[in-house]
This record gives sequence, C-alpha cells and structure tokens, in this order.
Amino acid sequence: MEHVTIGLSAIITKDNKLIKKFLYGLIPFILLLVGWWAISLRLESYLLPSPDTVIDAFSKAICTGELLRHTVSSMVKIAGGYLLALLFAIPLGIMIGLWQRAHDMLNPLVQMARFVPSIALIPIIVLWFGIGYQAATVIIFWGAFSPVLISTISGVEGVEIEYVDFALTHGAQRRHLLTKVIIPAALPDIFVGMRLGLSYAWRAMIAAEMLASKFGLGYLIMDARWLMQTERVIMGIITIGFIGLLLDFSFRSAEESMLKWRKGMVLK
Amino acid sequence: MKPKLELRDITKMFASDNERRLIALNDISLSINESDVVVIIGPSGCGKTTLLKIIAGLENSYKGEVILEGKSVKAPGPDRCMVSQMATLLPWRTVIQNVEFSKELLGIPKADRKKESLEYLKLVGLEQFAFSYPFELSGGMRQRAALAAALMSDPEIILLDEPFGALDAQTRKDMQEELLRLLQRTKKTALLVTHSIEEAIWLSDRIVIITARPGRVKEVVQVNLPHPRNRTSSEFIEIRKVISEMIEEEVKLTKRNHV
Amino acid sequence: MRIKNILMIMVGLLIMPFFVSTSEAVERPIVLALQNSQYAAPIYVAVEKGFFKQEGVNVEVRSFPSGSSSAIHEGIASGDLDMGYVGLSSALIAITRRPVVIFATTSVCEVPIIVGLNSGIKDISGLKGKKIAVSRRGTWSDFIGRDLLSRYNINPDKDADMVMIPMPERLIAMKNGIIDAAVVSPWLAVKGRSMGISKVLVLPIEKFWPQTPGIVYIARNELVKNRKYDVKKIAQALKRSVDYINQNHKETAEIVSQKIGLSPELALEVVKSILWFSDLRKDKIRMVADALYKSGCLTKFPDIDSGVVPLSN
Repeated sequence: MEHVTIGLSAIITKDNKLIKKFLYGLIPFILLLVGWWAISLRLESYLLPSPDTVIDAFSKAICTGELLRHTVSSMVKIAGGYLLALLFAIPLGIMIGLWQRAHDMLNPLVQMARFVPSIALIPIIVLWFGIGYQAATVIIFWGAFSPVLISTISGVEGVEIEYVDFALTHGAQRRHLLTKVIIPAALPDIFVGMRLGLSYAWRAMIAAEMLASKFGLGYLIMDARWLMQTERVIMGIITIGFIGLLLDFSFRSAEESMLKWRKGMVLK
Repeated sequence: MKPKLELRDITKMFASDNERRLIALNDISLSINESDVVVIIGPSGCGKTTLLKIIAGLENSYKGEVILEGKSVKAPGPDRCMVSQMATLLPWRTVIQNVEFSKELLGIPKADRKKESLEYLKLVGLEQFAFSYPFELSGGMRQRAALAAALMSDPEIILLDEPFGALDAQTRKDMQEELLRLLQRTKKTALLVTHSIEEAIWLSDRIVIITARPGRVKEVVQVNLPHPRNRTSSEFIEIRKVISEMIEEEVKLTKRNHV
Repeated sequence: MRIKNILMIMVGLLIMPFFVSTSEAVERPIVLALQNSQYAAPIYVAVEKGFFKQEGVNVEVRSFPSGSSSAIHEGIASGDLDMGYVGLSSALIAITRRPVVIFATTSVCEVPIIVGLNSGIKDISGLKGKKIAVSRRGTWSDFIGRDLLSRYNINPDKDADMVMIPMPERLIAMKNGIIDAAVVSPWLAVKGRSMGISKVLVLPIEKFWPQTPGIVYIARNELVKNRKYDVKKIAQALKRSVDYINQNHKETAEIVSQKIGLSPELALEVVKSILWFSDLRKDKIRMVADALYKSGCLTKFPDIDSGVVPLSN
C-alpha cells in the first residue's frame, strides 16, 4: 500500500503540469454532466433525455458499429474536400499575395466568395452533383477554401521586407525567395487559415449530411430527429464535438512542432 | 592598385506624395581600397542607410554606378553582404542555419557547410548556441550571429548599417573590439554606417561625412592612428572635435530647412 | 445603480415566458399548424368557409413549408403549436415517445411512385437496381416506398439504391438522370407529368393501403384534456371540410391552386386524385403500426387505443 501511494504521488508530481491542466479542463465537463442529470430529472424525457439513456445509445451504436461507420464516413468526406481546398487555396493565395495584377483581378471575387456559406450553395450543388461523395467534397471544399485563401494572402503580404533583404544579400535568387523566405514566413498565418478552414469545412459537411446524405454524423442526427430519438441526437452532437476537438488538437500539435520558432514572439 | 569599391555619381530621388521630388543623395562618389575600413557618418536622415542599400543592391532606382572590383554591379548578392540595423536573422531557422545560409543557396553539401559555419560561430563566440533559434538570443548575440553569417558569405566588401545602435554602452564597446578583431583577422574590406563619432574614429581608416539632405560628401577624414586606439588620447579627441563640429553644421542646416 | 436595474429587467423578461406559458387561458386561440401542400385543403376550406367560426372555436393557423413534419412535432412538444397534421408514420412514432394523441384525419397520404420517361421502367419489378429518391427513414414516403419494394421481393437496401434528395429537387434530378424513380407527393407527380419529365408508375396507397388514414392531426394530451370541447369543435369543422371537398372539387381546387402554385386545372387533378375522408379507422392504423414496428422505425409498439382518439361525430 505504501509503495502504491508513493508511486502515485511520484507520478503526480512528475508530470504535475500536464495532469493539472488536464484536470482543470475536466471540471466544466463534470459540472455540465451533473447539471444535465439534475435538469433531466425535472424535464420530460423527450425534451432532455437523462445522461444514462444517452450512454445507452452510445453503447448500442458502438456495439453495432453504427457510430464508427458514420464517423468514418464523415471523416473520409472531409479529408477529400479539405485537402483539395488546401491544394488550390494555398498556391492561389501565394500568387495573389505576390503579384499585384493577380491581386487586382481576383481580390473582388475573393471578397465576395468569402461571404457565401457552403450551406447556401447546397441546393445548387445537389442539382449538379446529385448527392454522395462528389457533392459532399464540393461543399466541404467551398467551406475550407475561403479562409485558407485569405489567410494565405495576408500571410504572404505580411512577410517583412527585412527577411527578403537578408536572403537577397546572402545570395538568394528569385526561386529561392519563395521556398526559403516567403513560405516559411507566411506559414503561421497559413496555419491559422487552415485551422479555421477545417472548422468551417466540418460544419459545412455536417449541414450537408443533414440535408442530403445517407451516411455520416450529420445524417445520424437528422435520422434520430425524425425517429424522435432525442438521446441519439445528443449522442450525435457529442460525437461531432468530440471529433472536432480531436482534429483541432492534432492540428495544433502539428502546428506547434512546426512553428516552435514562434515561441519568442508570443506572449504567454 | 585598383580600388575594391567605387561609387560614381550616385544620385537617388524619391517621388514624394505631393509631386515634389525629394533628392536623397546627390552625386556621391567614393573610392574604397582592399582591407579598408571606411565609416560613413552624418546627421539623421541624410541618406546613409539608403546609400548602403544602393551599394548592397537592395535599392535599385538610382542614377550613377556602383563598381566592384572594376565591374559594374546592380543586383544584390553575397559579394556585398549587408548586415542590417536590426541584425535580422530568419527566425524560423536556427542560428547555424542562418550562418550557413549563403553556402546553402550555392548548393554546397551539408557536411561541408557545417564545418565552416561552426568555425565562424566559434569566431564570434556563439558555438554553444548553434542550434538555438534567434528568439532565444539576446540583441548582442543576434548581432554577432548576423556578423558571422555575413562573414561566411565571403563578401568582397562587408556592409554594416548601424550594427551596434541597439546595444548598451558596454556591449557596444565589446562588439566594436570584436568587429575590429574579426576584420583584422579576415582582412575584409568594410563599409560601416554609424551615428557614433567615437565608434567611427575608433574603427575606421577613413571617415566620410555626408551633408544634410540632399546628401553629398562633405568631407573625408583620414584616421592614421595606430591600433589599438585610445579613446582618451589627445589625437582622438582632436579628430572627434573636428568631426563633431562638421556634423553640428549640418544639423543646423537641417533645422533651418525645416523651419 | 443603472446597470443593476437593467440586469433586473433582463432577468425578469427572461423568466416571464416560463410563467406565461404554463397557464392555459380559456380565451387563447388554438394554434393550428399546416404544411403548405394539397393536404392542407381541409384547413384552407374551413377557414374560407368559416367552419371554425361556425363551430364556435377560435383558431390561429400557422403555415409551414411542405415537409416540415419534424418542425411541427417539435413545435407541439415545446408548446409553441397546439396541433397540426403530419404523416401517419411519424404520428405513430410520436405517440410512443411523446405525450401526444391522434385525434382526427382528413385524407389518405398518397405517395405516387414516378419514373423518368426515359428510364425504361415499365412495372414495379423494374425498380430493381435503380436509383430511387426518397425521404428520411421514418417518413411516410420512405415507409410506403420500402413496403412497396418488399412486396415485389426487392430488398430496398441491397437491390435498389435509395437516395435522399430534398423534395423540391427530385424532378430536376430526374430530368438530369441522377435518379430513375422517386416517391413523391401528388402535386409533384402532376407537375412532373405536365413538364414532360415523369409518369406515374403506381399509386401505392390506392393499391395496397386503401382507406388508410395518412394525414392525421395530433395534439398534446394535456391540451385535449384541458380544452376537450375546443379540440372536438376543430375535429368537427375538419369533418365538415372533408364533406364539402368531396362535393365541391372545383371550388376546392381554386382555393388550393393559389396557395400551392399550381394552375386551377392541375390543382383539380390533384384534388380529385386524393381520397378525402375523416374516419379515423383504428384497424387500418394498427396495420400500419405493425409494419412500422417490423421495419424497426418503432422501438416499442404504440398503444392504439389510448393514442388514437377520434373526436369528430
């Protein structure tokens, strides 16, 4: 018994910071859960199902593999559209950021496009592409495209001339400037845009799935809604939030390891 | 002997907002020999940094010629490597990656670069920080790293724009000594811009005094004192007085023009 | 001092609705939701002809776009709406999960199966392996569509491709060849025919579920208990509407055509094609509940006797 307590306290004090952070982050969830339970006791079950019915729904959906199927479907859809958006938006953004002519020609279009949310395009997209993987990809592409493009443009435009001068005076040719100065300098902004684009894409996808799809977490929620199984609706919502959190977390870790040189420039 | 660097009638004009043409530099001509250490000094706004940038090739709309080793040059390059006022380093690269940048651009393989860059880092006393990022270094350390990078690019002439302006008095002194040591060791030709008359006299073989805008060469002062120089010696103080008075003159002119 | 006052007023305003909605004032009009389609005809007629007024009940009608069954279910559950009509399948699901009852019907809910003119489908067995547009699981059209396929030994999930396309887009999707067939509403079938896009393959209700209440009216238990007579009056008014429609097709078509954007001639076709009746037949409803339960849309079997309460004479 002694050894256990000593070992436990050793672990806690060793990774003290990380565990502390984790515990702090857990508190609101616990409070939420308790509050939920309390309120669900007073309200009708169809308005707010109690946590245990939702947990039931989870275990059922996990055992039948239903939850996994829909989650995988959503993630596959978003991967395609998102990567496509990066492929187009980043180079285009660099081009617009660097060339005045491209900027003059394309900027008005860009500014208009950014205000049209994916959801507004769904009727048109369904008409042209039907429903299914292609339509979903287009919707997700549109959601992610604008934020990535705009952040890339601003990142490239914001590259300080001193860095360019440094490179030139050390012998950089034009081809070097893009890869060795412009892109690394603009990378923090591009990352911000990528993260934003991911969250927009995720939301656009859920909306698209809710309206016109046979699989996916958005479909799951709509299906549960029509069958009036509110506990499955909540299950879907929690899953969506959780997956979103995972995606964002892994993104941030990747970002932090690639951009560790920024630490000095950010106030903690 | 052919001069290392020659400036012929350098004239720089800025088109200002209200159509009035601003003449920053007017017919600057200068000659610098190999291994010379020349300092440019003058009142604020007289165009010293602009001149340096023109020589470095970072400014390219001007009249006149910049001639390096008998050949006219315009584009920027490591042959006229410039250390900026703010000791700029690329923040996403480690110190050693910054120092060997010029060689990396030339395609020299990593192993060869590493040996050389570590040597230059040793030269400036930063070998412990080779793999640190610029944000981890103090101002003085960054300045030293920038110097090492410039030296490694093996320039024909090294250009320095107020390299020690942001440092405190003691660090500044140390850095001046360091720079002189490096220049003497590598026998590099150097062109420095500074505000500090004391620094100018302590470091240079020649001091070029630029007038207030539009900048012309007012005077060239030879400094024939042997190294290491004594900042309190009577000759030092005499030269200082002379230069100080000349600059005062120019400063007064600037004030009058603004009134 | 000022900020405190503002905060108190805000809190007061936030709390107020909780107090207001719990009391059922006798004078308050009953909020009746309709979905803007041909099935709203009884309500349109009742309003036009003053049947609600004549029965002596104060009704406030709220319009929803077609296909808003879930919005109406949720409105009734939250108390925003007092009653409305939905498809029988979602009504049956509702009575198992929520404190609501079915108290009236005005017609069947016919769901014509249409096929593209160039699809080459000649009979129901030709639907095998084709792309069919349906609505969500649990809706009437999904239920009837699957039921139809299974009667012809076509497995809806394996032998046919059921795709979910929103109702307004089904005709254009058919025109562009994205789908071969669709389960639609009568007005859409008429429209598709008039536009030269589709033809009707079969009318499943007429064929397999005759005289089955399809459009049913639901309301909260509590409302039926507290205001029984008002609800009865509304059911009675709806019955009168149904009788009127059966005797005045043309006038009904005129009333409806404005509301749903069809020409009076096409509207007349639609009105004529629907069986309007107000007999809330429990035996027919039980059959549907059976089939729904077997298909898995219902997790527990509804209590038909307590959940279906015919209130008209």
